[in-house]
This record gives sequence, structure tokens and C-alpha cells, in this order.
Amino acid sequence: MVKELAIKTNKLTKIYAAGFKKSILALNEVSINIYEGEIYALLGPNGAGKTTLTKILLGLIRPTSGEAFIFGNPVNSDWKMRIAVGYLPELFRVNPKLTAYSTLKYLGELSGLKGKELKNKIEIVLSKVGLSDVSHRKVETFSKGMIQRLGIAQALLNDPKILFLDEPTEGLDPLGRIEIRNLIFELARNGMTILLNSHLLSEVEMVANRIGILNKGKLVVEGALDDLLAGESCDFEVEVSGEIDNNMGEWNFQKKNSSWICKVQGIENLHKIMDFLKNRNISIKAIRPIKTSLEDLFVKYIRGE
Amino acid sequence: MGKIAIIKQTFRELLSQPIIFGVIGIQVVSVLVLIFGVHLIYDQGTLISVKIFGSELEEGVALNLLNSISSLILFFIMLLLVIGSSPIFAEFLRDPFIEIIFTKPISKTNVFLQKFLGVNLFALFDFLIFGSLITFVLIFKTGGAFIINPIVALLCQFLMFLFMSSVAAILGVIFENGTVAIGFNVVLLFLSGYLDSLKRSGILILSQIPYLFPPLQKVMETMGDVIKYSLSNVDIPLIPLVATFIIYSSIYFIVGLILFRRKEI
Repeated sequence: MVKELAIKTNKLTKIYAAGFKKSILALNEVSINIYEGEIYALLGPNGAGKTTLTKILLGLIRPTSGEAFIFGNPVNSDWKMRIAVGYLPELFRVNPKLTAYSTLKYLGELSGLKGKELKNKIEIVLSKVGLSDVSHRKVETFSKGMIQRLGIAQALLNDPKILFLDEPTEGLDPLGRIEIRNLIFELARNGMTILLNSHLLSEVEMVANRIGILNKGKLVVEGALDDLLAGESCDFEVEVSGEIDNNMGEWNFQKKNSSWICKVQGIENLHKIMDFLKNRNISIKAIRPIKTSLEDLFVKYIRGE
Repeated sequence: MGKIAIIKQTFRELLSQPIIFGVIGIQVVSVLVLIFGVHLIYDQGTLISVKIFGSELEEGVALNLLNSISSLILFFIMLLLVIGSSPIFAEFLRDPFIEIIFTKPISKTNVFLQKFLGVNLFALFDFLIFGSLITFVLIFKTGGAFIINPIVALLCQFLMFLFMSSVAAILGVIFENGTVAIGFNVVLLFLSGYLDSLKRSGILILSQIPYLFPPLQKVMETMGDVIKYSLSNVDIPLIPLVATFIIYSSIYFIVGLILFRRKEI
């Protein structure tokens, strides 16, 4: 089944004015495609343009040039389209004097919900984020993690088709992170498209299907996470059985339990070591590709290593 | 969608401000003083003297004193309300919560309109409640002898507030700084009496400045007249004044709305 495009941008560019005759290029012809039901992570160092891209998609700012579409409709064309969107900003802050329930009631009313429907929705989202028991407590008594969960709850109020999450696990303890991660999986399983902005690469690696890395306003790489990581994997671990002597040439073997292991870089070196071991009559127990981490990938594209 | 959510929220924000409690406090004390501290003494239906906290004053002296005090109280109420409400727009735009509001299915026009209505309805209700209480007390004390309703005086005050809230909205959208809006409106309030004199300054730019504002001095004078002649049958033309203020406020409101709609968060 062909999945519908949830988000599409076409050569999106944003230039901010920065004083007299000065400007900042925040986004440079960024084109991305995000499909329905995907968990897409937008990565990049501070100032890379992640927030600018998210804000353009949410209609909070206008692009200097280029186009952005949500489910085929141009962003900013109709405010009613925002019914399809939920957003958790990076620093979610609410009136501390309000209770969790009244905060959601206010935002639910802005989404056009009312009466029993609104009450039911509030109860459902509070239960989803685990805040049902504290719904009538003032937000000023909440921990950072609880406020973050309230932020996710408000983003889910109008049953959005696309959820924009900016640092959703910020301030959460490990258990809280697991809960939010599971919630993200559950939402994606139910068909929701999720655009995730996060600095926590290990978190992203666990949840994202596809990623895009932005650097200095430019999309430097985009693709399925597994494909990108597999494509980068050209390091191998060669394990041999039995004893080896000190004369192993250029190869540096390390003892691990009852085996000896050598790490080699690239296919050519792998062939070389295999020939070397064959000539020395040393039997190979296993050859394992060393999986590149998202952090390695990130560093490679940002630093150009 | 979200028809009055922002109006309700604006009411809550205003009511949580200590300065607004100050306004309500002054109004409550004024009504109590009028009830318990002022006694009108009539002889065959004619007011002959007024007792203020036990001291009996001749009718003319007492009314002059009461007029001055009333004008001063109205000015202070206005000043505090302007200080309390002017930063509302700027704070609304500076609050990170605005990002969330702008991602909800509600138009920017609706958001701006609700915020503006919230501030102005709050002031209108406040003026009407205060004016009604004063009216009821005066009806009781004079037996209905006064001609011009104090509510009219407070509606004159509301016209001024309406214009100032439009100015605060524009300044809030442009500068996103509540202090600028407060500062401008307070200066405008204090200098409103001198604006007309700029027309005679002989400097082209300065002489045009008064035309940027509705006749603020005139509305203050009218308010004073309404209080002064409250026991006399004097015709005070209000309709042209109301119309002028509504036109000016509408223009400022529309400019504010255009700027707000273009605002990037």
C-alpha cells in the first residue's frame, strides 16, 4: 500500500533579517518528504534550522521562498487545517496557577471542543500521559517531567494526524522516557505521523524510522535510519579461535574471554586479514560488521569526518 | 471555534493583577463613602446643604468638593486600569504559550479580536457595575432628583479606555514590551490636555500630531460636565464624541490586527 505524503517541503528557504543589510540564512532550499505513520527525526546542532523548519510547517513563520505542504495542502492556506496538527514546543510552559485540567480545557476550547466531548478528550489524554491522578492539581506543583507530559497531552487533544514533538523527553527521568517512547510507538502504530526534534541521539535511534540531518540550514542527509546506518557500516570485528603469537604483523588482536578479536576498517582490510589468517592457518571463528551508531553518523555529517 | 476561551482567559489574567484589585478597592471605598459618609439635606425638594462625614457644608461648596473628588477618583481608576491592561497584548505575544495557541485551529483574527474584547469588556463591565452602584445610591439619596446618569460619565471614560487599549494593542504587537505600552498611554493620559495646543505650535509636524488622536481633552471635559451638571437639566451632546472615538479606535484596531496577522512567532 502506497503511503500518503503527510509533510512535503520543496526548496524551503528562510532568511532572517539581522540588522542593517545583514541577514541570516536559516534554511537553505530544504526539501523533505515525510509519509503518513512515520516517525521522522530532525537532527542537527543548535542553529541548524530545525526549529525554523518546524515553525514554517506549523505556520508560525513564513518561508522566504519555497513551499510546504501538509497532506497536500499548502501550509498557511487555511487555519482550519491546524485541526490535523499537534505541537509540543521545546520549552513547554503554562500558567502555573492553572490546574492541568483547566489548562487542557482552555486549549481544548481553542480547538473547538466543548461540553462532554471536551471532558472525555481531556480524561483520555491525561490517562495516556499518566496524569489522571493529578488533573486537579495546580501546575506550579508539577515536576518538569509532569509539565512535559502535560505538554504532550495538550498536543494530543484534537486527535491530530501529525504530531510535532520538540525535545519530548527533556526533563524526564529514565522511566518517564520509556513511557513517552512507548507512547510515541503507540501513536505511530495507530497511524499518526510524528516529527521529532531531539538532541538525544540514543532516543532517536530507538524510535525513528527515518531521519534528516540539518547543518547550517541545509539538509545534508535524509533517509531510513536502518539504511543509513547499514550503509555506513564498513568496520568489522574478526574473531579467531585458539592461540596467536606476537608476530601478527599490522593486525592488533585483543584477548576477549577465550577468543582473540581484531577490528578492521573496510572491506579491503577484511580481505587482507582473511588472507593473512589463512596463510598462518589460523581459523576464523566469526566475522561481525560493527554497527555504526547514529552518533557516529551525526558526527560524520556535521563535522564532515 | 474557541469562541470565548481567550476572552475568559483575559478576564482571569486581569483579575489576577494586584493593580486591578486596586481599581476595585477604590471603587468599593467610593461607594461605601457615598453611602455612609455623604448625606444630602433637602428643604421642600431643594438641596440646601451636604453633610460629609458629619461636617455640614453649604450646597455650592459641597458639590464643588464632591465634583473634584469624583473627577480625581475617575482619573485614578482610569490610570490604574491603563497601567494594568496596557501590557496585556505585549505579554500575550511574549509568552511562549502563544506558539501553542497559534497551532490550534483558530484564526489569528479571532485570537486578536478575543484578546481585545477581553480587555475592553472587562473595563466596560467594571465601569457599568461601578456606575450602576453609584446611580442606585444617588437615586436612593436624592429621590431621583439628578438628571444625568453617572453611568454616562463612566461610558465617557470607557471611550477613552477603548482608544487607549487600541493603542496598547498596536504597541504590544510592534514592541512586545508592556512597559512601552504603559509608558505611552500614561504619558498620553497626562498630556491629553495639552495635545490641542500643538495645533498652534507653528511647526508643521508637531501641529499634525493632535490629529493622530481623538479629542481626549474634550472627552475629559465632557466627563467633568456630566458630573458637574448631574443635578441640572443641561444638554451635553455625546453622540459626535462617541462616534469620533469609535472611528479612531476602529482605525487603530484594524492597524493592530493587520500587524498581528503578519506577526511571526
